[in-house]
Amino acid sequence: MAEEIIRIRDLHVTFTETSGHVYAVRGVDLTLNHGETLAIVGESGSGKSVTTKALLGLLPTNARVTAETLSYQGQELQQLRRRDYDQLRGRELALIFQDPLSALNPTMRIGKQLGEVLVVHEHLKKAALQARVAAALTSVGLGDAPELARKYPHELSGGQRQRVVIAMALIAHPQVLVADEPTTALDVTLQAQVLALIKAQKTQQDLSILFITHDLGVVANIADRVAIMYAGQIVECGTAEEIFYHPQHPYTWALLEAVPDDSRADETLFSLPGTPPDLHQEPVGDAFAPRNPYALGIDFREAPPRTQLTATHWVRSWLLDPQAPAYEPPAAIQARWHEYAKMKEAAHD
Amino acid sequence: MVKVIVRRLVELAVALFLITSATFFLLAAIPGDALSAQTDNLPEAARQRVYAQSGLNKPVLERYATTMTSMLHGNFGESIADPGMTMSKVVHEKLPVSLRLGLQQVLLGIPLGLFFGILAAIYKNTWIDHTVTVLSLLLMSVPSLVLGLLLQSYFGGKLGWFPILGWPEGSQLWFGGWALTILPTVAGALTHVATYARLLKNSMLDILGSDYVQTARAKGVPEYRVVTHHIVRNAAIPVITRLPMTVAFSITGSVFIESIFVIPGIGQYFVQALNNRDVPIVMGETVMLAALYIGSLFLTDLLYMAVDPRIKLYDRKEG
Repeated sequence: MAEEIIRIRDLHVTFTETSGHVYAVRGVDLTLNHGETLAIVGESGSGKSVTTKALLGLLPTNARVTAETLSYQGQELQQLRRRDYDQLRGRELALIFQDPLSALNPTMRIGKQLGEVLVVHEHLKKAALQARVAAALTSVGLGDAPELARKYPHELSGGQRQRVVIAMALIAHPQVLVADEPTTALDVTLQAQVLALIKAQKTQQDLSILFITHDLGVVANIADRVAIMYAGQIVECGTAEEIFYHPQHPYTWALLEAVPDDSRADETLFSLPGTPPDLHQEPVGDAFAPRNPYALGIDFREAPPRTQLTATHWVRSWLLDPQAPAYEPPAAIQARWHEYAKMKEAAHD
Repeated sequence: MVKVIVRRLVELAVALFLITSATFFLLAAIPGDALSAQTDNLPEAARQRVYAQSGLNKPVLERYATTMTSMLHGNFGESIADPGMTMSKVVHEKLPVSLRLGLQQVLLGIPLGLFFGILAAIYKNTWIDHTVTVLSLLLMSVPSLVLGLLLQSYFGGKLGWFPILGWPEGSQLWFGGWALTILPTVAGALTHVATYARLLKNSMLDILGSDYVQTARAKGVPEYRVVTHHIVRNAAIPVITRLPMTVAFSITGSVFIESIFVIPGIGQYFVQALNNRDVPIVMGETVMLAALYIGSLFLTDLLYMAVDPRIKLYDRKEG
């Protein structure tokens, strides 16, 4: 078993707003192992960003965070003093934000923004600082680093900015990179380039990555393991193979069917009807039930328990209960199961 | 850069022409003139003679032409109502008074305003924020004239701490005689405190919620450095660019404060000249005030370029 680098157990985050409480994260369990990429997938508002911000201690003051465990390399983060948290952020745990333009300070030169990480953590000065900044910019494929370091964010293209943001996150050689939808604001060609860049940096710097996205298509490219989030909970978690070829939760099925696929190019793309629940009240039963064509009676009364399928794969769904009636997943999902069975057989031989 | 200055100068000339013309004709349209008070009881012949001497008997358009031509030559003429007074005397005797009053107001008011603005933003939604917000709203709504009167009656009258009227003169024109300057300075400064507290608080709150502040925290930048390097720096942009206008307003706009505290500055003299229909002084002061405003606008442009790299009003290559 690989070394656990991040461990989250029973994480709850509740926001207090003028309109009442918002139960944004409701009991999340996550483990990130050394050297792996874990993708957290879910719709907007599913709590995936909130989960990682809780990990980094970046939530606003109206957020109440409670957890049984919230630890980095065995160090409990909940009681951490602000100064020690500052020491951790940027040096050990780095974050890439979604929108590369708004994530950069508009009135600070690129070089200074990158260098600030090293000024704060390593107290570097002048020449040493400049050399590291230039090296960081070069390592993400940005040429003419000295020239670039003197520019302001608005003078760069979208792709350049995202590379700068990645360089800034990695400049102090952190252990963990949290990438919060790093490709969402980019066009498709740039997405591919940025993904390739993150993968390359991962091998070079021996990173562990928490990759947040709403796009399963992107996940297939990069993740070792996948956690599917809905309404503040993880509903299914497994290796990339298990999630893509042996998915068990109806919400995962819906997400998979919503990914464009060449082999089904002439069909209308599936789209899940309805919207995620309003988390101003804690949902009763399974939060996904109202949108779930496979929902059982009990789904509306009682939250489903966690069913462990393999050492790596678990699901929260009443469908896996021994007393559940027989059901048949959508045809496309059955095809995936079929392929999974074949892969397993091939592996046995 | 040269091109910019030339363009601004042309704008200044056009603006001055329009402003002075409008002032001249408006003055001419008001019944009575600089000499009516002195000459109303004179015999008709004597009255005619006085008017002929001052040139006020000529038709409006002819007087307009004469006035504008002599102003072009830098000659504003002598005061009609206050013989011996010229614009150069105004600049030497009256302007320093207003300059000192205005600068004292700015130097006291803006730093205090910024301090309270930062406090209110950092302690958002606490009693500090609420107090600052309510007080600044109150101070902004009450005219400095009323504030001046209140200060006069309480600190000058009731408590008797400070003199009520007057301004240091002679060797103390620029420095000293502080007791006399305190009440009028505070009366004007309170408005600045309120304006700048609100301005900085609002712009800081905008920036507190922005992604790049989160980025800075995610980089592990300590909170005080986040505030100084990322928040205040960006929040200062609207503040810095507003400074020249505030200074200009403070110097020229203390008309009421100068009047109620009987301070012999350009504002008070302007009001007096207007009441006397004293065309040369009114025209001269108009030019002076307009030039100050337009100059401060130009300074604002320059400051914008200096503090915000996103703004390039003019092509830098020309500079």
